Parts: sequence; C-alpha cells; structure tokens
Amino acid sequence: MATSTEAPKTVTLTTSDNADIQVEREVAERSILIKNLLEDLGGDSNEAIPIPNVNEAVMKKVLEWCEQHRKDPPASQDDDSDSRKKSTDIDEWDQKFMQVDQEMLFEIILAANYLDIKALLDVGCKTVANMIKGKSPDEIRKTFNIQNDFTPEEEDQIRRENEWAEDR
Amino acid sequence: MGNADSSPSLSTFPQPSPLGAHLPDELLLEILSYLSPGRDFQSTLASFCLVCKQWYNVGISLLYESPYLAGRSYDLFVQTICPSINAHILKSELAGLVKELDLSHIVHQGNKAITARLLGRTKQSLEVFIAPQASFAINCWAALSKCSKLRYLNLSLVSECIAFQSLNQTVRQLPELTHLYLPRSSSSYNSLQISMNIKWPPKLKLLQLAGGVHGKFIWDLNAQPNNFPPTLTHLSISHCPHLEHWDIKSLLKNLSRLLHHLELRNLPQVKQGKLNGVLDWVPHLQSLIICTDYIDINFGSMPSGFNPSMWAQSKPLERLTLLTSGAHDPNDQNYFMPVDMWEMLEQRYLGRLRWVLVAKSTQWPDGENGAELDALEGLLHEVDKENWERRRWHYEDLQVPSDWIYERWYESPQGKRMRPGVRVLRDQ
Repeated sequence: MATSTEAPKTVTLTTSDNADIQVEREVAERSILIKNLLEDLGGDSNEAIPIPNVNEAVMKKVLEWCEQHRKDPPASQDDDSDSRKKSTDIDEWDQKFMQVDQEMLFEIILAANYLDIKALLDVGCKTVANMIKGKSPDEIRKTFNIQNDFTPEEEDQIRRENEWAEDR
Repeated sequence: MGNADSSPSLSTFPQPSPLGAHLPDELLLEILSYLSPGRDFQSTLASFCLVCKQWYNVGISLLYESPYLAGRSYDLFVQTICPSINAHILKSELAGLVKELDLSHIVHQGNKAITARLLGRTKQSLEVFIAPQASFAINCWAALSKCSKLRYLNLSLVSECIAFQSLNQTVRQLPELTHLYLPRSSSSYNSLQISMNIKWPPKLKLLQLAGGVHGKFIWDLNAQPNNFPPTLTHLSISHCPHLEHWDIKSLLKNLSRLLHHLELRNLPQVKQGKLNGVLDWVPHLQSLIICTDYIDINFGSMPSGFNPSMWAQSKPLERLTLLTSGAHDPNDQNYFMPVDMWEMLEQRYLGRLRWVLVAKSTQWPDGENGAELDALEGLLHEVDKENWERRRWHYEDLQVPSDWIYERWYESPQGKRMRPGVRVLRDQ
C-alpha cells in the first residue's frame, strides 16, 4: 500500500452481515477493541478486520459518531468517572444522533460496549436513563418494546411491596 | 445478583421482546448508575423493577439497599419488611437486601416495637443504622446485638434515657462496628453500682461521647484505659452538659497514643483556657475541631524560643476547625485571635498546618481580624511552598517532573487538592 502521501491510512471492517466498510484508521481507533486488534496485527496490515457482533447498519451509525468525535481527547481512566455520571447532560449533536428507534438505540449501546467505546456507551446509557426517569412501568415497556412477563398476580404483589418507594 | 435465571418461573416464558435487541444485566446496571440517588431515584427504580422479570432481578437489591424513609413511606416499608403474620417467602428475601436503615426522618410514625421488629428482620444484612428520635428503647437491644455486620451505629438523636450498661453490653458484641455515636440526651449510669467493666467493640474507629458522660461514668472510663481498642483514632465529645475539663484531660491523656482526630464542642462546664494543652495531651493529633470558648491566647502551649530552625519538632496538626458554643467573648483580652495562630505558624510550631476553618461567630472574619485572617492564609501558602520545596512530611515521597516549580505544582490537579487555605463557616 502506497501510503507515503498525505492520504490518511484506512482500514477495512467486515461486519456480521459480511459487508466491508472502509474507514480512516483514526476514526476506527475510537474503538479500543479495534485499536488493540490493529496493534496486535502490526503496523500496516491490509487485512480486513472482522466485527462479528455488529451488523452493517449499526456499524455505520457507530462510525458516524466516531467521525464526529475523532478529535476528542482519550477517555481518562482515573477518578472523574463519578463526576461524569453525576451529570445527565448530553451535548446537542449527541442528542440528535441518539434520536433513533429504540431497537437501534439498544443496538448502539450493545455495539459501544462490545467495541469498547466508553464515551459512546456513556451517551447511550444516559439517553436510556433519561427516557426511564419519571415514567410508569407500562410507559417504559412501550418505549423500549419490552414484553411484560409477570402474571397479573405477581405484578400486583410487587407493586404492593414496593409502594413505599413511589413518590408522592 | 441480577441473574435473570435466578427466578424459577422465568424459564416458562419465551425470551423477552423477540422483536428487538435486549440489554444484558451488566448494561442495565450501567444505565441505573446514571440515575442519581434520592427520592426520584427510588420511585424510578420501583417502576424499573415492574417492567419485566429481568429488570426486576437487576433492580430489586438496589431498591432495598438504602431506602429513603419518611412519612407514609415508612409505614408502607414496615408492612413489606415485617408483615404481621403469614411471612411470605419473597418478603423475607427483601428484608435481607437492606444494608442501611436511616430512621432520622421518622418522628411521629412507628413505635419502639416496630423499630425492634425492623432490626430483627434486617439483622442478617444491616451495616448502617441511624436510630429514630422517639421510637428507640431498651427492647431494641436484643435485635441490635444480632446485627453482626453492623459497621455504623448512630444513636445521637435518641431522646429516651438509655441505660449505658445495656448499651455497652450490646455494642461490645458487634464484631464489625467501627462508628458509634452515643445519644445526646442524658443516658443513665448507675453510680451506686460498683465500677463497671466498660468494653468497646474490637474494631471501633470513631466514638462520639455525648449526653450523660460525666461523674462516675467518665471516672470508670478513665480507670480502664486499656479497654479501648487500638483501632480507635477518632473521638468526639459533644453535648455533655455536666462534663468537667479535668475529666476530658484525663480521658485524652489516656488515649494520647491512639487519637488522630478530635472534636470538642458544646461542653458548657468547660471554661476559657482550660483546654489550651490539648495538642500536648494528644501529641499525634492531625485534625482538631474545638470551640474558642475553651481556649485562649496560650492555646497550643508553644515553648518560648521556639523558632523555624526547630521545624522538625512541629506539631502534626494539619486541620484546625474553630467553632463557638456561646460562652466566648471576642472582646476579652485573652481571646484567641488570628494573630496568635499566625505566630505559631510563623515559628513553624504548627508548621504542618494546612487548612483552617473558622465559624463566622468567632468574629475572626470581621474588621481588623479579617485582615489578620487574610495574612494567616498568605502565611499558610508560604509555609506550604517551603514544605513542598524541601519535600517535608506529606511531600516527602512526591513524584513530580524534576523541572516543576511550586507554582506549576500548585495549578496541577493534585496540587489543587492539596492546596492549603482558610475557610469561613458562614452558618456557624
């Protein structure tokens, strides 16, 4: 590969549904999983990197986020994880980015977790947390398309037991 | 915890939401960690647990770990944890999830029998207990003595007169207890009895003495100094209406090898200047909270001729908090002033001092004193710079780039955390 010019280095990712996606290495390396894989393969491998847990649609969405955040400073490992969690604020671009159907939202969270993209996982979890706040169980089920697997008796008993925790 | 398969009847159901993706337990927990604690968190968590079985299993232990209880929610909580009869299996499991019971907001609800039953139900798991003001009494001791995981026991709000003997019998059996706060109201101590063998829990780290700690009680305490565990490093003596300064002095001298942190406040029998020697009685003291009522210009007892070349003999005190409890007189010629503190710092007698917190009621921040207080803060920074440059004490093992000067360090995150300063406590 002739990479002596300024053309940025690219890598190829093969998704679970066998689509090849070409992407700039800097963008792909927002994923710690991919970054480590590339390092293990050594400098300038042309091999496509298999990403067996993420399909093409989700991968493209994730890479869109990585592109936007390519210049962000790397996540710090130390003690600020608590202060990060205290704020449920999400920046405007990320908010728009997260306006997807619930299935895609869960897929993005799963992919961010698998690909080890801490900042994207944060945004996804914050988005879900904000969507849960102040909602009734039924509203939560509708929002996230979750099946109620309690019997009416079980549901009634749990509701009675936990009534002390309801805000009033 | 949070294993979806732990619910036996779940296996009869198909996988949830076949239409979409579903999140594993660890990610549901991650999402919950973004919801901030408090009452809103509690009601959100209650809804969370009702969504489906997987979510219930992930959320239920969090919901019961440290409940916020006040008003009607307390009565409902009691119904769940202590159903009168027909103890349902699921219900007893919920009681076993409770780690912290803070009943400080319970005033009119409940009664002593209910408090005792709550303790009895949660004894397997309970680690923190803050007793309610009105509904705590002798019938709670039996249950309390079986809380073998209890680390933190706060009885400071209890208004009923407590027999110290039974309290001591109970707490001495708690193997994990590290924090103990005695009631502020008068606890009774049978002074007619022959001296009693007072024993403390083996891992006790912090003890707050309050209420009827005087006379025969403190005499018995001082007669058995070896009954204090070697783990005791924090002592607070407060709200003791009859405690005399000589009793405090002998107790502190008995504990002089152990204590690193000391609080002395709301002791109306102690007069000005009587606790001036506290830094000598407790030579390893790192932090001290004291009312200016008990000290005067001779506080600290700095030997005459002490000077900066003797810095190595500096007292280990790093944090000093000055409060008042009403008997202080800022116009008295012997009143302890910022300038007196300045002198001890200047001579490096308090060369390790870094944080000074003063109540507004000391009148230190006012008028001319205010300027002196500013000068004191300036000197704190000067001494800190000297300690940093010479790598003294807390800076001994500091790892910073070799080209760093103090000012660079001062702006670094670690430097900001360790930065010295003066703070005025406005509402004190």
